[in-house]
Amino acid sequence: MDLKLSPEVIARLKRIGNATLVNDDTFSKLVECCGSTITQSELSSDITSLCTGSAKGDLLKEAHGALLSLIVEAVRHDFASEPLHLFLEKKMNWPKARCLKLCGEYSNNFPKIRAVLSSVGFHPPHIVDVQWHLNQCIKSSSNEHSSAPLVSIQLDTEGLEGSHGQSSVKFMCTLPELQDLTSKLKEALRQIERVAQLNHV
Amino acid sequence: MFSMSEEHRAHLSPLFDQSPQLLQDFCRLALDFLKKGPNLKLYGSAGQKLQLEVNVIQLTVEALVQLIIKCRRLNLSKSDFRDLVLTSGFNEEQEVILSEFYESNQEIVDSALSTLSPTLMHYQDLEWRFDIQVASRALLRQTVPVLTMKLTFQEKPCTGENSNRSSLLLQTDPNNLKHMIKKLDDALLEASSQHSRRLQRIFK
Repeated sequence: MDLKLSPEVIARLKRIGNATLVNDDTFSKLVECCGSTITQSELSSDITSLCTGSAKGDLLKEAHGALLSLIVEAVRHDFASEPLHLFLEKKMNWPKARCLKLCGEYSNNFPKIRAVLSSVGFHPPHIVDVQWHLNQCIKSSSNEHSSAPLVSIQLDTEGLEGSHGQSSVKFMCTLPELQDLTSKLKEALRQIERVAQLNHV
Repeated sequence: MFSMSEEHRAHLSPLFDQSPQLLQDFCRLALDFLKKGPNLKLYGSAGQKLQLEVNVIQLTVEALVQLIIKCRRLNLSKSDFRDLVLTSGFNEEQEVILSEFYESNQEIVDSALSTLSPTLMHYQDLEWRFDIQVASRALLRQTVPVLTMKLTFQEKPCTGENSNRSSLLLQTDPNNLKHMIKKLDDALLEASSQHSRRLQRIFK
């Protein structure tokens, strides 16, 4: 399996290995930057502060971009740090210390970057919680005696674009309807658990 | 118990001296009204048979419907209904027919009444499929379990045949599914709890 990197990115990566263009201190700051850029965590070192005032601002920005491409592509392909180390040392001609530094950062941030990448894309609204309340109708404009209880249900979701920006689905259930709904969900869960057990055997 | 207005009584009065057979025919007309609305054609032929004006027949049927609906709205007991019918001018033989009509058609009356109450979106059906997301553009190797659900809703009480339906595609993961089931089970449990059973008894 090969990393798919454009010729420009490869040229820039090769330049990063060059100690006369990027000194050791800048290199380690650059590498730390990449991790925080992708995971969008608040870290002291970010690329703008690194570039401002530096004579090599443009070069650093290019280098930052190239490193981002490399890391994202490697995580995308589920690269372990050893093959990455090999790739940098043999193909990009990086000094060993720099390969180690980058691979160290890479494996530290790997789970976080994976999480970020897995959330890129589209999917139906994802249910994350459910609210309910149980109502007993005592009287109404058309009926002066009480009727069967009703349950209002609200499904809280992530990613639902409602007309008023709401992110939940609201509906009513009579008790038999709610029983039907939960029994269908339970059936789904049973099937999922069966599949999960099959995998363990 | 409600007291019948003079006008209502007057509209019912053509029934007072009719035979049980004819009263049953009127009950059938009232039932037809509850199910499908007024039917002037039927009233026309009934009018010819009884030598009465069509609008008299119509008023009588409507008064009968009104009687049943009002009693049902107030949830009158069998004996209260009996008292009301007897005091308004029906004889005992007719009371038996009307009581039987009142008792046996409560469901139809309720569904006619419920068309007047505000309609709400009700859960109707759930279809699901279980997938494992294997890869995406941004991340090639993954195993993410996903339960995709299609929820169908329907407006209830339904008004006529063109009831409003809608459906929605949602997804969730096994952990959230477990959580959802637990919370919904809580709701079901609460519905049969002592507290809510007590309330149901009080307001019955």
